[in-house]
Amino acid sequence: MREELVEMAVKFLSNPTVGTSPVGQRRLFLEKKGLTGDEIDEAFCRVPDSTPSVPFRQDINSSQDVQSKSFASVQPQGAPQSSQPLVESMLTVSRPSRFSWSYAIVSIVLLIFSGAGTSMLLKKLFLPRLKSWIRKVVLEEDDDESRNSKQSLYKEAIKAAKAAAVASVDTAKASLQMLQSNREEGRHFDVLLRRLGAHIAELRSMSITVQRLESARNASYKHTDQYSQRSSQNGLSNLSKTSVVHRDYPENFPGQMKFRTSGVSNFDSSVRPLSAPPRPSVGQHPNSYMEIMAKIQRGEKPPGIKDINDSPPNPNQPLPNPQITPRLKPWEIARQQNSFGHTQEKVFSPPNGESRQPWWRRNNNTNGIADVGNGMRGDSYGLRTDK
Amino acid sequence: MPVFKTPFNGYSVRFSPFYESRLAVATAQNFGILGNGRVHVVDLAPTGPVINELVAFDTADGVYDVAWSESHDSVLVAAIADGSIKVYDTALPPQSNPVRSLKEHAREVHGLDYNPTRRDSFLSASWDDSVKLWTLDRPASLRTFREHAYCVYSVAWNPKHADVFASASGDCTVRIWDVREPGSTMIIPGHEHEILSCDWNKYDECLIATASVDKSIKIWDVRNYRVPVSVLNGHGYAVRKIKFSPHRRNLLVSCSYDMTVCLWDFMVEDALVGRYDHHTEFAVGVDLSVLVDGLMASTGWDELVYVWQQGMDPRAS
Repeated sequence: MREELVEMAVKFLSNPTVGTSPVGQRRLFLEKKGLTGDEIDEAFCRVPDSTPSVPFRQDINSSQDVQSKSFASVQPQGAPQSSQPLVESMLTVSRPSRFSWSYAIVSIVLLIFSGAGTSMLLKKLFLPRLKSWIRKVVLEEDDDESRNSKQSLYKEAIKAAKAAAVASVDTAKASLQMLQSNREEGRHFDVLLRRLGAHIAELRSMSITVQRLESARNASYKHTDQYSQRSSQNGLSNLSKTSVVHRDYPENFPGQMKFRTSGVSNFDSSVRPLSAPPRPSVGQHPNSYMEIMAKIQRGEKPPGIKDINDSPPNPNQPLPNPQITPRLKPWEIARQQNSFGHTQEKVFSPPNGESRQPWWRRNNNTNGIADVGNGMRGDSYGLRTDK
Repeated sequence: MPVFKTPFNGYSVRFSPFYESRLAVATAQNFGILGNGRVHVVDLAPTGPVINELVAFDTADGVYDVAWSESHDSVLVAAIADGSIKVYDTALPPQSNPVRSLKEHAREVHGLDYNPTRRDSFLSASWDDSVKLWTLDRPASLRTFREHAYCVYSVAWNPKHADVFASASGDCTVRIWDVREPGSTMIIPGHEHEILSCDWNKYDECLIATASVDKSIKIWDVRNYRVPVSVLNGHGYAVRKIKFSPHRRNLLVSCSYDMTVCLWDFMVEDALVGRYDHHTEFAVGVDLSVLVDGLMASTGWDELVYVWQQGMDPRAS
């Protein structure tokens, strides 16, 4: 035993700061200094509150206390860190030394750092992988969905097209049916129109016969036919607008109504040289007026109408010189007489001066003097000619 | 009294202002509805009551009226139903006639009147509602008077005022015109029905007579045309033509569809002074001779022309 070394070891061990360190470290330190085991034990025996070299028997209670303290401080750290405090507690149990709060705080800080490190690791490494994997899954699901939706749209479009085609086919069929029905209706209308036309023709003929019967007893005239000419060429309207007054006339009396149908009086005239003045035709009884009208309404031309060319042969034919000077009119003579204030001889004497007057001058009141300008005279009008 | 038979239905008769024995007759076939026409120029035989035809002119369409020229003794104008006016010259052979054809009216020409004072122009009344003024030396009309609303049946020059004339129309009015004015100077709504004829009094240039479908003849004074001077009733049917006497102031003659020719004195209370019913059909034409006082002529649809002296029976032989 080297007394000096043992004394140094005792001084060392009695240092309060050394007392906080674990026994094992002290022993290691002392061993490094070169102390033997016996010397170290001697030192430990000399130090007043040195920890026992035999940890199991004497320090079981204190180590148990330390363990309990360490457990209590470490428990909030969690399970992964539970191994470390166990290790430390075992270490501390081997040497029945006093644990201070520093050891607990350090352990806690270490635990915290370890926890932070593992969390960091997780975040950096595992989570991205997780996220990517999740995204892949999600994308696959979306693709599937879109594929499904597209497929459904296509299906719907196809369905709509089919439906539209069906509808167009239906409309075409309906229009065809309508056309057929219209054709049938048109045929029916044609038949109806023909029948109506036949009816109208029958009515016309009936009215003509009725009017003929009426005209045989009637005699009237009205110039309202002019209006009917302008309105229509229909014979019915012409006849309906004339006024009819009953009058007794023989059956063979010519018709009394006057008409003029427009548009029927123009004939194509052919060249026909004018012959000598023809004698008036005799012996031809004039047709009844109504018969002529009926003929025209039927579209027939009355007989005896000739094509006559009455255009001037020489439109530039000069007019002849007048052979006789114009005479004054009787009223002009009267004016002159009145202005002159004296009567003149009768100016109507025959130019040849014959005393014998032609038959047309022989009348009741003639006395050779023109009584022009005078008022009425009772005897100057001659006899009243009664029937 | 002589009678002249025409082949067609008579429409108008006019005495010549130059020859006291000459007349022109306008006729139309088939009552004027449809067919040819003919203008007869007839002469009264000096020896006896006979009417001889001097010349006749055939036309393609009916002749509704005829008028003698006041300037040329052998010229007459005819109103044709096809709207034309034919000018004939009796001094030329029939092959050279007509000498003119004046075609301007759109419808039938119904009336003609030659100016008795100026003697150079004549008027035509047509169913196309217009009146046209013509002279013989021009191929086209000088003026057209278009104001009537319906057919113009008759025109008449005023005997004193050479530029004034009257027109009678189916629109129930008579219009007084002056050729120097652009439009009519007076409108007389004389009747409630169509007015078929009008004529001026030769001795009072303000008096005008109108004949209407309402069977009456009204005498109007143009200075006061609201109320007629006189109304002559007596015809049984529409009055077709009237003519004031060239020799007597108050005398006028009328023919009607009651087949009679009547003589009136409108200044007398009982105006009807003579009635001749020689016709057996519508009496449509009547005229009084300017040269012979009392000589009158009439024609009708019975195809007969009568010439007689007033006061005598037309059918007496």
